[in-house]
Amino acid sequence: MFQGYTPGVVARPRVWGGVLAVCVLAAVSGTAAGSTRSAVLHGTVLLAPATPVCMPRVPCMKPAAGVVLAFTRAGFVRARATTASDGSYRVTLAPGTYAVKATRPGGVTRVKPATLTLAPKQVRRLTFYLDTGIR
Amino acid sequence: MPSNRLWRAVLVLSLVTAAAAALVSVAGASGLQSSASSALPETNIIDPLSRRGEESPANRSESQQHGKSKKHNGVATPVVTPTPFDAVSNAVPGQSFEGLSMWDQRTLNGFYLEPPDQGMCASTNASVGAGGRVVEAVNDVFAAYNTAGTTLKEQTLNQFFGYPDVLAGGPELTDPSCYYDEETGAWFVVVLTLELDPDTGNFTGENHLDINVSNPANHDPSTTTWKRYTIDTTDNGNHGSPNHGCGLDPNPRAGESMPDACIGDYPHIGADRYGFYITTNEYPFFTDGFNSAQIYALSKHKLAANASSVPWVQFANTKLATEKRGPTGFTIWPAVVPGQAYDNDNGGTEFFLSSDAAEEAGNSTGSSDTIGLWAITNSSSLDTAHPDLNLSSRALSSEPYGVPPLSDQPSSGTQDPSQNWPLGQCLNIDACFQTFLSAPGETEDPYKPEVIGQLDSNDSRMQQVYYANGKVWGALDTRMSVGGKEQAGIAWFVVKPSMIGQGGGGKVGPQSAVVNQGYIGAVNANVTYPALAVTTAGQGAMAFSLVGPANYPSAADVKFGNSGPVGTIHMTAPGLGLQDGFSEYKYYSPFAPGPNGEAPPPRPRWGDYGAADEDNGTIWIASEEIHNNCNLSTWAATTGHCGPQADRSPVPGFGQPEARRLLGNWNTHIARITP
Repeated sequence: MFQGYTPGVVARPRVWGGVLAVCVLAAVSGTAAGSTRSAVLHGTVLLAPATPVCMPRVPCMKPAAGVVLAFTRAGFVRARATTASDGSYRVTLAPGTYAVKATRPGGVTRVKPATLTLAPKQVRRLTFYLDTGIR
Repeated sequence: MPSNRLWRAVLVLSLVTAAAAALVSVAGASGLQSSASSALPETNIIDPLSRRGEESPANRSESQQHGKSKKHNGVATPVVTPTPFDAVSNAVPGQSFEGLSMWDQRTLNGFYLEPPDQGMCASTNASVGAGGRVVEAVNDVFAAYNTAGTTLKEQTLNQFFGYPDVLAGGPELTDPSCYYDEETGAWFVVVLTLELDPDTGNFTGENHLDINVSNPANHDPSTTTWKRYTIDTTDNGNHGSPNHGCGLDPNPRAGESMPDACIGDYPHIGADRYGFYITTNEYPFFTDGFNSAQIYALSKHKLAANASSVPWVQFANTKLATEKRGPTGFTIWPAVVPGQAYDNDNGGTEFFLSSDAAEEAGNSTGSSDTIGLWAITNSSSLDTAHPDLNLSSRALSSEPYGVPPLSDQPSSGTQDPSQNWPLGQCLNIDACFQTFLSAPGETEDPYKPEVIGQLDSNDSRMQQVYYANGKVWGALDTRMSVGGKEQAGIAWFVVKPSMIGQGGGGKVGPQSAVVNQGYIGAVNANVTYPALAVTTAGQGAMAFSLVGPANYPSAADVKFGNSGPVGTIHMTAPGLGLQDGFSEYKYYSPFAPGPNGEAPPPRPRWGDYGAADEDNGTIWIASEEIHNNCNLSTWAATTGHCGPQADRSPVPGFGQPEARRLLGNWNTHIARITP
């Protein structure tokens, strides 16, 4: 499968020139932000649990600043997003299924969910949790 | 879900009942207050330890790698042949009873907490009281029972440790655990205490381990006085603690006087002939990250004698197997022995087990096929003024294990109207929400619809450890595939330690190995939070929670022999209904809702651990479960109490326990098993 090739959306090529053209188009659509088919993913990264026990309406979590989220598809990192001081992030991605990895110097990186799928033109809010390990 | 007409009837009835209940509760509160005051133990608030301790530098931790250094690339999810389970109880007749619950927590303390973090220990020795005693400690209640489950004493953990209650300005206590020592006859109860700013109620950052030890002249835990010892775990230099450089909170809140605090999380306890051991996981309190597991070794005999001065040693910067390159120590759980079967070699030896699938251990894959064996030798030196201990460890090849997924309960993720989950159902009905749950100005749960939640399955940290029959026994939570379905299950290990060196210099040798191991999994059900105890003959029992799409959260057990589980999984106490607690609903864990009102998915809690304890050739077990199944109408009509819990004895000073409280319904179960 070509990167970014979506059956039923891009016509099957008949000649090598067509294949090449589709490859180029598909590669662009698979990586470039701002494509007409691109999706927007935004939300917050939270550290949880923040305390050994939880109480009602007392946030058992807190925002994670400076976390770098890497969105990988077909073995390549397609985009990265860094969370702001309030834990918020925003990234534009081509539609598809991604593996998510989080990195933060000196911090935990166990992220959930670890995979996500975006439809064409979807605007999706998604909260990621980083497991602090505190119990 | 009731029709509108039915709902209106329920609402009218519940308003009348709620008003009546409010009057009763006001009357009850004054009685509760005086009763609680009279139940306060004699306190010995001293801090003999904090300036006498000696932090062991990292170079005293001598460790070796067993075989080649292993780089973790993740291991495959184990495919497990299921262990059958049935509804027959393994328990000794008349010694299987309901323990503390959310009712106790909310009623005695005045607020809600999840999860319970169940500690339990027991003895039927004559010296502890006629017929024997069972001690249970949860967040945040202490209880002492006779072996039939009659409550002899019950009080808040704060009162038990000699503090004002939280709502009276006291600290927040968490992660209780319990140990009965056969040699000295002493009971030990340990808790992590988090100081709160009296003006704001925010954490100050200061935290410490508190150790309550029974009086040597009275070994009945329901009547003894308790002596409290304290070890500061802030580890920022506070009260003479070492400074471990925990990260500074970039946005400290009012009252947060120690923004550079560490926290000594998840304390667990063990003992050998000479030493009493507490291990913690040390994290920065207000930022993320991890330092390492800490090991505290104290003189057991001096604690049991209620001595005014107790030598102790803190091992920091723990590394498994190699000092500089090995995985960072994480949840290094100390062993307990059956009876007095201590390992007296090498000047007294204490064993520990750990796992290394967690990120804290430097493993980003969430899976592993090694576990850690640790030992402290020369523990007899703890009875001297200058303890000289030797900590060593090895990584041992093991079966694979990895962090498990959340556990489904019946109808998880749905709004199944055929199930009873009254708190969640009420959040979804505006009139009910306004009557029972709303904050001022709120007319609806802004995050509805709420759905039936899942249960936390723990990560892959080591759970309770026993040293028996010359081997070290332990178990942990793991992901597994059972019948093609990925779910939570248990990996268990039996390790044969082989020590090298002489006397106090003994250390874990290269011949140490996992000699037996396996998994416990169930068809279409998750099994979580194992606690294993073993007799001197190598017979034992394991307690755990069992829950799945067809099983409400249950207390379950399986007998154990030298070759592993014996027979089928038994239901110690089959779950009667759904977990319906606040932490599984979005409304109670909101954070930074977006413009569209969307809340992050809740982070449900369960566990965080159970307990098992050998007692004269039998095993006492304790697990979390759900022992109520209250529908919305009854929940509303009783303001969440749902009527008396008939199978518990009255609680002195508080009367007959009720089935649940408004915002939660967890229960615990305790039983005795003959292996």
